[in-house]
Amino acid sequence: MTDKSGCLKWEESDRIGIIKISMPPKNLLPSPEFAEIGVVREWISQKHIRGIVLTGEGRHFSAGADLSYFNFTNSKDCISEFNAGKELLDYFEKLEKPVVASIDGVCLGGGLELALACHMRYCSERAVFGFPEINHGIIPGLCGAERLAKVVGRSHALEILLTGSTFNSQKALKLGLVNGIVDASSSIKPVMEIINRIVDFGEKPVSYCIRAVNNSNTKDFAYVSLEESKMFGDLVIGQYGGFS
Amino acid sequence: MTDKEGVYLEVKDRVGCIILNAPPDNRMTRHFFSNLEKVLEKVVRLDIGALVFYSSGRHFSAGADVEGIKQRFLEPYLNGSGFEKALEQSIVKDCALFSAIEALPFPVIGALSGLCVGSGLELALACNIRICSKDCLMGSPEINWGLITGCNGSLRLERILGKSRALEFIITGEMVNSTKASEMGLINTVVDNKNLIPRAIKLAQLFAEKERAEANYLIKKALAF
Repeated sequence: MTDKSGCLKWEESDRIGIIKISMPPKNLLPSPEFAEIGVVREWISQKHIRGIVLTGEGRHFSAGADLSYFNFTNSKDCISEFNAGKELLDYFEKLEKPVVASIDGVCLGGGLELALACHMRYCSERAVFGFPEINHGIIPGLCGAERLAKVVGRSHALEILLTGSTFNSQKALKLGLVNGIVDASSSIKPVMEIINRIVDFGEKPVSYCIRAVNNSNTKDFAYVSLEESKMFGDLVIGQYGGFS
Repeated sequence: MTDKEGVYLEVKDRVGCIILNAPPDNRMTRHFFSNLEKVLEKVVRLDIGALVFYSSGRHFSAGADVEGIKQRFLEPYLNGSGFEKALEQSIVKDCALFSAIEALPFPVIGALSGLCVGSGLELALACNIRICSKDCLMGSPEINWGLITGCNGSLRLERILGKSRALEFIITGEMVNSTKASEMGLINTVVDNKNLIPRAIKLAQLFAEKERAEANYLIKKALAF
């Protein structure tokens, strides 16, 4: 099994898979397809892996896309590349193992899009966030605008996207963009503690929690409500229904 | 058994109060749910303009107990009832009861004190507005027992907190105090312990004026309650 795909490196720490964005010094993403989804799936779907921490190697999470890449002559050419990147992000979002981002340094543009696809985000005090695309006359290309709006609400998302300016960890916390500020300066230790505590609760309850919350973003309350009840019942049977 | 045991109803002017009275911590047992259902059947026949839920004691509710869940769901299932049928007669019924509370044609206010956790929190979330006392503690600790929210807590928390904070809330099973809950939007207002019930009733009286009845109903409909 390879431990590198595109700009992502894979490491294992017991039950936790650590994905590091690795393109020193600022972890610029070389293309919208920044890793091969088949390889990433292979890493993550190993039975013993119960949770994922996504982080940047070195001082920063990721400063975003490498703009020197964008020299398409035909906009149709780039669609399949963007689709590949989006597929990877969708995979993280829907995964029923927790994916938690540990963010230090800059988290901009495509880097922030990657972080937004994670289930939860924690950052260091000194982390810096933003969507600078508009400064270059473009927009985020991996559903960043959509995910940002869902997380921080329409008006804050528009402010961030339209001003193209950066903001700090305090603002990120206030907006709900990050779950908490931790001592993540050059260390994933705080996030490892959080994710290990979660994974301790057991595979099924954790995956059902994720599914219940992922399902909730819908207008079909009745269907989702019944799905929650089925998962609840299944867990009760698993916990208490055995012969003792 | 007096008629004030478990859950009982008091009506004054146009305000209904559902009082949780199962000391010490208002556990949501089988009796509790069936009492709540009976009280609700009375409520829908009343001409009131607002409803308040509060506890007669220190805690709003410490949630369901595992024994209750075993009795209501697990027993029938293990006795051959079939998974979906056992669910329908227990868990799904409870969810429907909470949804019915949420959708009443007038504002429903939860006045929360002390522990408000698990299905106790889910009842509070089914209320349209929540005020709490300073000492209130909220949480979804089900995962400590290897379970998840059983009364649509995941849905209602997601609506209020958004996906990431709802996930964190449920998957860590940790408690939040009144200050944090208010910051997160779980609570509309935090008040002193002794002012909790008077404040809730005052708010309800404001809503309950007869002239406001139709507007209140339409506002709730517009907000998809």
